[in-house]
Amino acid sequence: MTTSESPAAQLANFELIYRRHFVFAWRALRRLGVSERDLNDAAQDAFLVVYRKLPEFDFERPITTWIYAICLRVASNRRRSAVQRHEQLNEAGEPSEKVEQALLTDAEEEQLNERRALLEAALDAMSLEQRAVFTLFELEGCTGEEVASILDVPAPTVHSRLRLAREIFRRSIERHRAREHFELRRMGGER
Amino acid sequence: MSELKHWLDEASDADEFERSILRSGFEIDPPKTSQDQVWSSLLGALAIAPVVAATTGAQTATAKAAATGVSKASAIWLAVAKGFVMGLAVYGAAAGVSEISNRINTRRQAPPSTARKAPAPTRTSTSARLTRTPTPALTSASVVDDTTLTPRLTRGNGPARPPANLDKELPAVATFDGAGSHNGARGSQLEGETRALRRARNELRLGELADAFATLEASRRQFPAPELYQEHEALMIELLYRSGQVSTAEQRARAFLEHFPESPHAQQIRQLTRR
Repeated sequence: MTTSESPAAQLANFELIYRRHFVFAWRALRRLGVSERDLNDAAQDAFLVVYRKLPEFDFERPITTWIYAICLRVASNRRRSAVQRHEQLNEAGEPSEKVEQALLTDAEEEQLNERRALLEAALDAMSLEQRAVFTLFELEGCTGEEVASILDVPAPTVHSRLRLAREIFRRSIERHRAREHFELRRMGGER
Repeated sequence: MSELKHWLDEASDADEFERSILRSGFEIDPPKTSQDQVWSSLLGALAIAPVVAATTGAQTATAKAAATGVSKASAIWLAVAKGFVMGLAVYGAAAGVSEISNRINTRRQAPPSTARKAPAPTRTSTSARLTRTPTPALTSASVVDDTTLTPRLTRGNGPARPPANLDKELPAVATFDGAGSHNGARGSQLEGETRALRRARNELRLGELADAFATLEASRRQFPAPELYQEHEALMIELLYRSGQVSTAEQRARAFLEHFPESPHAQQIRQLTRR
């Protein structure tokens, strides 16, 4: 896309990009900790930036990388304003609530909800930078080099963020296991 | 980094429970309606941009587009004026030239009943408004006769009709459709826009919000340089509020009030933002 394009052509190109990458951006924002309640607004913010910056975008570069970087900034802004409002950024990340809701559904869905809640809780414990590296590497399946390129940081930085993020993830899982173990023992003792 | 293994690889040091937790993250998908909802909101948000450019003034293409829009509206009123003058001429042939002259003068002093729908401003108010919004299109209005002033001002500072009256206004607009090829095309745009707005408003009243969004979006696509921009925008803001997209609605309401503080819809929008 070039700046000489008519507004109609620009909008048509933008719509194409939007339709193709909306789910990617939505997921990225979700994984970066934007609450379900705010996801539509955040996606809109991200794509407004995409639209405005599109004439400057170099199509030699992968567009998903660029969109992800925009999503990261949007999530970062939202996290900052959520902190300022003293609100929890991710209201969906309440494990107990999730598990409670899951009790109403069948066993398989209950298990999935519980695991998703654990994942959310673990991701919430990370900084946004660690979270971005972890989700890109472990969930999106990017290589370290790709993550470095997307986030525009050196590979050793990616390495160290991933290491710390994994530690946080494991600690969160360990806490869950310890709680579960304690619950089982308590229930056994009550019998 | 190449020596690192993804935890989802069987060969990594993650255990099966950790992998199952990671896999649960793959299931996250947006609700089916999200994509269209966000797209509608996006189109609305993007629609602010050209109007901002037109009202702030600036130049060339934007000013040209504004001029075109103004002349479209004025053409309809010009048709009315022509019809009126023709009628007078026929009557005047029977009643005498002096009688015509008297009637024209009388009309200028006291507009006919049809003007009640959108009262024509006086020259004084015209110049005052022109000073506030000095677009090239509006400046040119100062050299035309009184009958064309009202629509030009309407375009520049906001139509004198609140959206709630659109239904009642439609027949008056529709009657202009056959007034010559030029005016017919212009009339058809205005008519089309009015029809779309009326439909969207009905859908909003019935609570069919998605349909209302779709109608407004279709209208926006069909008429990229709308005559009834302010009505469209006011309705979109109300729709966004009603659909719970409060932050987007507030953002657009602020932009609207900033650029059209004296619009007939401004008060309605202020009331919405105060809720």
